Amino acid sequence: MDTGSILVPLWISFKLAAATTVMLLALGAFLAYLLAYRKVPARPVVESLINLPIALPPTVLGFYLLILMGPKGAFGKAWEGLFNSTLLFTFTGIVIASVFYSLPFAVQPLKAAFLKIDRRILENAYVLGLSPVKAFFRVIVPNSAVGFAAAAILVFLHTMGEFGVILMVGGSVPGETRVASIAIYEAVESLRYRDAWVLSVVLALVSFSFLLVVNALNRGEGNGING
Amino acid sequence: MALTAEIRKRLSHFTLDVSIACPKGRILSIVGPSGSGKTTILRIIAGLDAPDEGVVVCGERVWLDTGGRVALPTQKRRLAMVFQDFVLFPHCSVFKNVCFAARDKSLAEALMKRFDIWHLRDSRPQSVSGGERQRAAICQALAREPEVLLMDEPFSALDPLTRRRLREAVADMKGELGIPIIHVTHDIREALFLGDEIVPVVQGRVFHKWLLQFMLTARDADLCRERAAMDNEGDVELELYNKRRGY
Amino acid sequence: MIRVGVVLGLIFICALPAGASDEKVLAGVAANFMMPFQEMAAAFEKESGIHVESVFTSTGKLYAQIRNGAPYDIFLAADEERPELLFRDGLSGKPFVYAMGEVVLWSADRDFCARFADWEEAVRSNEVKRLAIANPESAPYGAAAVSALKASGLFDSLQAKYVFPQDIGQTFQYASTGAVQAGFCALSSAVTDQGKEGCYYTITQAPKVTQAACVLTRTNNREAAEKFAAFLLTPAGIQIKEKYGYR
Repeated sequence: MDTGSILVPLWISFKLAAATTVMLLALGAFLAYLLAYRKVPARPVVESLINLPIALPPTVLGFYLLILMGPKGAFGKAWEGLFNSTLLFTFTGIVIASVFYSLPFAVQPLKAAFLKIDRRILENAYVLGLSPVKAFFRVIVPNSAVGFAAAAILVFLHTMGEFGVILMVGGSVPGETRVASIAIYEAVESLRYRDAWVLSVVLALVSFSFLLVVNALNRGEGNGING
Repeated sequence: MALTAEIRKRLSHFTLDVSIACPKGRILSIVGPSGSGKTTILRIIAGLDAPDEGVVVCGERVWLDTGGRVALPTQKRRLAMVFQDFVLFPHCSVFKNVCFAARDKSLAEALMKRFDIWHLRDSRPQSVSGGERQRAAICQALAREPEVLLMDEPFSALDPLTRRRLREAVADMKGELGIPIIHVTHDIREALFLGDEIVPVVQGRVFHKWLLQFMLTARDADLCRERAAMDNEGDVELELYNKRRGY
Repeated sequence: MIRVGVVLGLIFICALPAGASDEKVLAGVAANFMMPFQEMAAAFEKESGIHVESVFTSTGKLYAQIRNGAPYDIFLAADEERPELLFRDGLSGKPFVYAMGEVVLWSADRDFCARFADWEEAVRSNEVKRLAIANPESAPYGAAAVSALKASGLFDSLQAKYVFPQDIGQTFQYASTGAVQAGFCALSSAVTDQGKEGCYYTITQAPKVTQAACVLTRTNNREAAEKFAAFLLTPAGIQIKEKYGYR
């Protein structure tokens, strides 16, 4: 049993989940803000697009992303023009793919949390002289902490367990895009059942501990919020 | 620094069409039955709603002019608003709430001491009483050093004793604040007590006759007596009403 | 009397086997052999009346399924190792070779093969930024490719270029969508209509991929399965597989 082949994929999975969570909290908050507080043109279309990753099978999503991010696709070409390197089969590539894959899991809880905030509190903030941006950080965010926590948990766990999309877009490059879920799959395929078993247990434990920690934080916070 | 507002807006059951002016240091009470558009007037002055046509001017600054395409956003209008339901921020302590838009923390402290809530400064809004919360809301508004103070049924949700206390506190302050205060209520007594000028608004229009009917009921004597007990410049208005009643 | 007759008749009909269990074979087939297999299955059905159902996926997955009791009657692997393991543990009959496959370097770009002298020059060139190899631990075609790379001394120096799709089908998909400039695919993919839109280099250093099959011990359709196993090696069967580049 090679600890390298166990620790490295776990570390990549963790890095991927952390990076995706951070990016999606920002992007998700932005989209949720627009959907909750602004007039959005063709709103049903926009909302359906955001929710699409839930409806599509991961292999289909992975396939579309493969085309888009490949050297002939719109994203891939733009990226290559800007950074002179390919997007597919890189860690950056799978972070971007994960952001798409988990987008609705960030936007939905945040939108729900934002909508729960009493509008008059926001109006009071504007009356007191806060710009929309300041009001967002000083009023909306503190009063939707539960939403942020929920979004963070969902996105993190969803990404830890991601398989099909990362397989397609990542190409299972060892040390770069071979995440724990893929390593488990490959271990089974190559009859290395013990490796598969160890990886699975560790993955489950890590996810479970994360859930416990965040839940505890959430409960502590919950006492002072939204009276 | 007076505030003037001319507003026209189509609402669901009638058209709102009013014109008001409030000089500094005076209180203008807009009174009328529920649903007559009073709150909408305040919201338009605050910039939270927009009229179909209208002009709002504070001192020399044009806050809104639909004709001239001027519409200053809410945050740029230096005003403060006290709502009926004490809209304090639940995630901050009372002190932090009052300081929220204050330039000067010592002013916030002074206000809180004056309104006798300084001892609650570290409590959360959820854990203090309704009257205390409303006092905090008033402090929050005044700590902003606004050029105009708007009050939307600020005392309706309070018990009669607290209501009277706060009314008196506000009436006491109006001279030293030196700003126009526009106050909306459905309570005639409150309007008579606080208002230097009273504007009855019924179904979107100024309708003085509506007030007269209250003047003719049995309560009038009490109201007049209360009004006379006040020491302010509003007695001229009372004379006018008395004349209308035929006294 | 008639009622009894009807009831008895219904029972009799229900008791009839719905297509005798001997007339069906469930095959677990390595994904690369899908096209020839489908043709063979059709031909076999016409000849013998036995219906062949199949599942196409990677050899590794099929093996894991069989070990855990999957109800296949016959297993067509892409290697010799896994049927051998099953045989040793008593889970199958003696394996036999049913096809020899070949790994080639395929590119979707038709002019690709004109630009380099051989496959080694191609993979070394800067034009090939990414090279797809089916995961060698579980895909025999990938393992053959790795053998060839090692034999040419290129394996280590090209590490930065490799991507490892899970099976030979995904390898072809990567190459055909242009995600990689070239991939180590099965010859059988290269000779399909889609494969013919690109081009391929033969790889002399690569060992042939010996594909073995075995009839599983727990089959309920032993006779039918063995008939099909025999069919694979008849001239009719051989002709079909050669059409797809197998020997």
